[in-house]
Amino acid sequence: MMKNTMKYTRWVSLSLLALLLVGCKTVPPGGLADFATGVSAAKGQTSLAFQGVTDLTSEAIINYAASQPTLTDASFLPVLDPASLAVWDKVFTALQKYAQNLAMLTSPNLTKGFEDGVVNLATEVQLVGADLRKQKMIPEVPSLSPSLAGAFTELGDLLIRAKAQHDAKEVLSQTDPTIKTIFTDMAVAIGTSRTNNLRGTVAAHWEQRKAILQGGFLARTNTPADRRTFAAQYASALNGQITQDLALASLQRSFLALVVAHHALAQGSRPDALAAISAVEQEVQNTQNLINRFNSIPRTK
Amino acid sequence: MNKTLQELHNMLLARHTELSQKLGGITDPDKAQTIIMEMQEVLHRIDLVQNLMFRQSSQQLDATLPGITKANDALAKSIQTIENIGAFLTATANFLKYADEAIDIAKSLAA
Repeated sequence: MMKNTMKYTRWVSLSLLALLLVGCKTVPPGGLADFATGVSAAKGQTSLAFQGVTDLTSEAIINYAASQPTLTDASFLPVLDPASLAVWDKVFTALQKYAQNLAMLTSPNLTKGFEDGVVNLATEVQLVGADLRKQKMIPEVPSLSPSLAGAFTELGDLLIRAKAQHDAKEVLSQTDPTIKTIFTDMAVAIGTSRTNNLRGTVAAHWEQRKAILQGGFLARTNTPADRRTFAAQYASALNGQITQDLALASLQRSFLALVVAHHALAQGSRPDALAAISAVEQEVQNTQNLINRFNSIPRTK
Repeated sequence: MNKTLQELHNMLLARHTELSQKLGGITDPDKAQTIIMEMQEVLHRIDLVQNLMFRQSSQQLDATLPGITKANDALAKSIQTIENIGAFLTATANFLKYADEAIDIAKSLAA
């Protein structure tokens, strides 16, 4: 009778806990792992995109320095200075660690250590009990009954998951404004169109390249073959300009998609989080394709 | 981002575009060269302002690092707490293993 009552109480407790967990909004499974993948991809693509900007602008910097009466350090100021690039890298590394920790905290493998611990403990309890019994120190072998051990493991799993979910949600919502600031600032730095910020600077550099080709095209000594060469180089520059701008625009959208994804995860809204993560994946893939396309364009200086 | 710098950058970009458009209608190579040189001067200033804007936005990003570090510390602590539960159970099982060995020794001594 007593045994039945205990069993009943145990299952009621477990069911209540399970209901509580289901009732709360939880962090969508896999969502954080996908978010972590998105952050890592954005880091790699930012690095490639910035390298592309440095490659493009360094040519114009040399042209400018060569046109000056004296050669000084001031003529060689880089568009993206190494110290600032290091800051971006540092922030991305911290974000990667943050996303990976979140993914780890909500991973299904989190309770494995606990489950193994329970199994080991139950085995050892029995072995020690058997020894003590042989020594006639105790009348019978103690054991953890399979149902009790099972219920204990289940309860432990639930409690651990509840704690992990609670902690993850708390950190997600506390960090959400910072994540928004970071990725929004990054998106602003890239620019909303070809007429502002980094996208504007990159567009101006391509215009300068095309202008030099236009000037060469007009030279009085040109043969038709020379003019054709200039026209081909102009077409290549035009293609490079469009592709590099599309890649930067896509990178900018990736940053904004990461803001939306993090917010949806913090809110525990499964449909919003899945849609936002899918948008991040799509944008990240798009940026990668454009960077690959840009890198495959033959360079004309 | 500093609004004044951004406005200056926008103005320089607009001026550069204007010159570029003007170049498109020119057929005289000398005149074209003059415009190209003018564009180069404007572009240099665009680069200078871009450098300042990028530095500034990086400083803003740098200021957010303590927030992320704090979140990372909280997550690491939480993961550690959970891992400690498993470690505690394993340690208890190991303790029992040693107790088992001690009983075996006691048994052999008693025999």
